Amino acid sequence: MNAKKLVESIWNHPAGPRTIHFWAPTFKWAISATNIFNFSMPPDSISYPQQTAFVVAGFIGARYCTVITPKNWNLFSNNFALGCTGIYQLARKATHDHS
Amino acid sequence: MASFKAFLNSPVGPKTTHFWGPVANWGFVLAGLVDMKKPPEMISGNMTGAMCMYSALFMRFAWMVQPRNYLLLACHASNESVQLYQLSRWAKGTWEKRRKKRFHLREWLLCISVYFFGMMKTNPSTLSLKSNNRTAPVGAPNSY
Repeated sequence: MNAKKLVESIWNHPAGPRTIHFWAPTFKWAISATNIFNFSMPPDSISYPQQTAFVVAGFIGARYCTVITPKNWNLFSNNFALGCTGIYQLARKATHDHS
Repeated sequence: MASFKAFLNSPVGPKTTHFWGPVANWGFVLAGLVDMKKPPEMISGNMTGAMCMYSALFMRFAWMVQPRNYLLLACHASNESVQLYQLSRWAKGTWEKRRKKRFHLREWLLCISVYFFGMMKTNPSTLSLKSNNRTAPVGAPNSY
């Protein structure tokens, strides 16, 4: 019975799989995942403007997700991860350029 | 002047994250505009296609979120147009290579899933596998 209740509470959640509040962040993980796959690419292929956009949009977007209704922790973690991967890529490129 | 002050102090104005979150997302649009000068061979079809889906989903998200966020909607609408243009440039550039394929699996899967999604939204009973899923008695008048 507990399992059924759990599944029902997820299914009917205001940010659940029947709503755009679920699918939009779920799809956005593809962008962070692509950035993580690109960790092993040569630093010359990293673009400063794009990674800066990821960092800025990521962290500001993470804050944005905590003030909207319904609060979207999926999107929050998504944006936060995007910001972190952006910082890592910028650091990689900066150390490569200054060495 | 009064309306500008009202905008400054509004609950979705520049003193709140509801404003700066979408502003930060315009970076994607600017990066896309800069990339318009790239030759089609350097465009990644996967990333551009993913961006198109991403902006389509987030246009709907901006509409449904509380409070409704028109700035985010405008941002993703412009990103959608930029990415669709890039996608068309990529598709034109790779058309010769792709024309040789007889059965484009990705395009077929996309059409079929769009069809099923449309059917599910408009007439859910048609997707049921039951043969006795009649929703009205035989001979009931149509409402349309």
